[in-house]
Amino acid sequence: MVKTFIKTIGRMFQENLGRFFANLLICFFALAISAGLNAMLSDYQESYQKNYDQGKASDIVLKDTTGNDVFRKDLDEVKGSDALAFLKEDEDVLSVDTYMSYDYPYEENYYRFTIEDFKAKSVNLFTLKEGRMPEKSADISHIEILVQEASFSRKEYKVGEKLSFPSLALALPSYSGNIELEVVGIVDSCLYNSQQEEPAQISSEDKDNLPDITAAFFVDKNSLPETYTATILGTEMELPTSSFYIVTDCAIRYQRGNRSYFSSEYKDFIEAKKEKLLSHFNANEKEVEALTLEENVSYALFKSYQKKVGSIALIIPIFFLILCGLVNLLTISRLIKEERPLIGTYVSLGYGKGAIVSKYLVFSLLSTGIGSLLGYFFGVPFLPKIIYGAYNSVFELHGLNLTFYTLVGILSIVAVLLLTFFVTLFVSLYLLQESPASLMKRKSPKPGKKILMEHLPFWKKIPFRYKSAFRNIFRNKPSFFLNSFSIMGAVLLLMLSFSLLNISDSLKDDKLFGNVASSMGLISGVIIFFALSMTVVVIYSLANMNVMEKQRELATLKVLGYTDSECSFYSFREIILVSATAGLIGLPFSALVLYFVYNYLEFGSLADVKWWSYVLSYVILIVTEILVNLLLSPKIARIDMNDSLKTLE
Amino acid sequence: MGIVLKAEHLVRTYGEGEVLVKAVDDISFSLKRGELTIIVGPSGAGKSTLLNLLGGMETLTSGHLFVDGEDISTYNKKQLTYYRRNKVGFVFQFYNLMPNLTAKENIELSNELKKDSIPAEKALAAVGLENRMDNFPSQLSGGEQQRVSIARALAKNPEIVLCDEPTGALDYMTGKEILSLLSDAAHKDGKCVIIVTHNSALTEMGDHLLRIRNGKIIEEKYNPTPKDIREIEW
Repeated sequence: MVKTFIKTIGRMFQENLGRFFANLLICFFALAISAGLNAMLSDYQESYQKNYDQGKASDIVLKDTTGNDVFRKDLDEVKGSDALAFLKEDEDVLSVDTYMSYDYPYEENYYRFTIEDFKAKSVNLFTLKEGRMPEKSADISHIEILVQEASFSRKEYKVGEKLSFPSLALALPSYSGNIELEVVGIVDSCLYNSQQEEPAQISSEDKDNLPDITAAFFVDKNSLPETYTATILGTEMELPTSSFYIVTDCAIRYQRGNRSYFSSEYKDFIEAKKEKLLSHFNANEKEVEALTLEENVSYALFKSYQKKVGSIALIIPIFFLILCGLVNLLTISRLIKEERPLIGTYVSLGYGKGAIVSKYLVFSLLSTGIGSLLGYFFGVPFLPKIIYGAYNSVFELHGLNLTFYTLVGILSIVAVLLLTFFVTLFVSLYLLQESPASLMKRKSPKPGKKILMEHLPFWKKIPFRYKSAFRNIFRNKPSFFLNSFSIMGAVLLLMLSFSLLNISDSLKDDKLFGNVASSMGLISGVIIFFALSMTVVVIYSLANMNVMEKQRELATLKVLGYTDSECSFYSFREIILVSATAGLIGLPFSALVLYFVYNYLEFGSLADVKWWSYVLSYVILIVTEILVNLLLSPKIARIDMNDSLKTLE
Repeated sequence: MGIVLKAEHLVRTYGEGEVLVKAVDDISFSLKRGELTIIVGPSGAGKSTLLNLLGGMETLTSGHLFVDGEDISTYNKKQLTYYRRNKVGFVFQFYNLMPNLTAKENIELSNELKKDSIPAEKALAAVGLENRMDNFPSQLSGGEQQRVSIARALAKNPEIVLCDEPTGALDYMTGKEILSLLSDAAHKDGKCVIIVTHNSALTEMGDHLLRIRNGKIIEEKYNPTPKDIREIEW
């Protein structure tokens, strides 16, 4: 008995292969996008953080805005103590670097000079990308320097390039003639790791419109000659080079503990440290500025970018999962309803509820489970890989750290499986309440009720074929609504993905954001791909269900002399009527949802969505509809007239 | 004269080699307008296959089948579809009505394929169902559903009416009512009606009898005085 029962399960799989795989694919796409987008977020953050970890980034940079050398000169002349000694009392401080840094204006450009002791460097390390480290100069007229790698706003320099600057560029006064700076190496400092412009740190009324720096030069204090010849009041004098260097900057790296970058815990932590530092200097009446990593342009850009993509990664899957759940519900409930007479037979033969319910649980959980898991393990590595290049053009990611754990992805799988489990359980147990005799009888619609449309004046003029299609559509209300919602869901997905593309396009005018736009564009491209695939499978699933349900009717139509194409149209007419209408309703519905979505996302707006997104979404829906029905025509042509005429089901 | 259908050496086989089954094995006969033909035989004799061949639902392995002088054994799938549409009305054991359409709509669905069809209301009245026109199949008894199915077959004004065990799922009295409707279709409307059954008792009501066994005709006879169905007992 058990053996034969298992055989009937096998038969069910065979007869419903299309349904099985359509459902599997829908779960696949939904999970691939939700797990993939969320894995991408943590993968990229992990990779980006390496900049800070490997480069030992400073969490706070103190800046002496007065030029009075407050960090070095004694605060308390009597005690003669170091102005920064108090930092040692803070156990969280890991290391401190002091150096001189300023943005030097020259020929309408700003050049950032950082003069420091390369050997003593303990924070904000840089890696040598090209060339070599500077060597000691014999004479001040020729100094070797390092240049920060070019980015979007910064000028590109080549190793060996020689630049001529006034001696004041190196803060050396009274030197006649220019100093030749030779670029010997290109470096990558851990604080400059995006394409973002670096505003010059100059005193200006207009803080929001600071000019950007053209280049960042690093000068090793050790490579400078001890003295240089200055001409003061016509007299040549040897001056000690180092005496002109004061400490303008003090970079502090803290023990972060388990606070990860970009988290609010980290932000609160360094804000508190900043407050403490400022109050220390204020108490001593010293004017000091403190810049936290949160104010670093690259850090801030990455953070805001992650926030954007993060909210997309949270919102988009919701819609994919809702649609997935909806189609799941339809697939399972229709399968069970189609097998009504068979269920009646099982019950009359004495099979228990458990056995019957488990038959459908096996089918639905296998299809959803396999699809979800495949989607998860496809999306998690591949989505980050596909989008990596675009992200990497804006930010410096140190290779891709793939993770296979994403909480959102796992929760999505659990949600989809639970939904499937309960829907299957509910629908089959609901059916099993009926007596076997009534189960074996075909279920028909309620007696002679006219549908609303029949009261309309033009009803009589509608061709009969359409009348029957309308009746079929409206008589089965739950199925009609689920169908319509699925179509609206598909339109919404298309609209959502196209609108993301529109919004990234609208960012294109901005120079930096031209880059950001292209990466956003790629992300929307990937989402469009998934939305399209999802639409195709959802429509296939709906159309296939319609054909499966109507097999017997289609066989009868064939016997009556309907041609294969007329039979296809019989099934197609219903689907296209529902899709065309639900799709039209879906457009304003999508606009409404988009309005709220973009309000929530805090970027982009409904106004950014171009008219063609609406048109294209609708056209794609209808074209997919037609293609899917063409795809299903051979299946309709294959329906055997005899098979369905012999017995009841 | 008045020959509607002429079968010449019909053969239909399934499978090949050792598992070759000859479902219809060299059958020839001809049927006239207004004639009620009973094809009788035990289960598995090849009756249904023969009916499917006559109805253009299956293709011949060999032989010729002339309907109104046209050889339908040469027809392709599409031509067979038009043949079913224009020349044949079907009545099945399990009625095969569209569950989502009312009695009237079921007939309209078939009618719209043919220009000279009889209006659905008239066809339903002819089988005594003028009051059940707006009912769905599930709201009708088996006999009523079979009457709808007969009305559907006759409404499109076919040359041939093919009935496969039309009383198979019905009780005795209801079966008789159905058979008398079918006999009227032949004798009053002049259709060529073919009833396939395993019930030998029905042979007395036909004008023409074909007894089949193992795919062959083992007896063919004409009955000049067919019995009224009400007089037949089984």
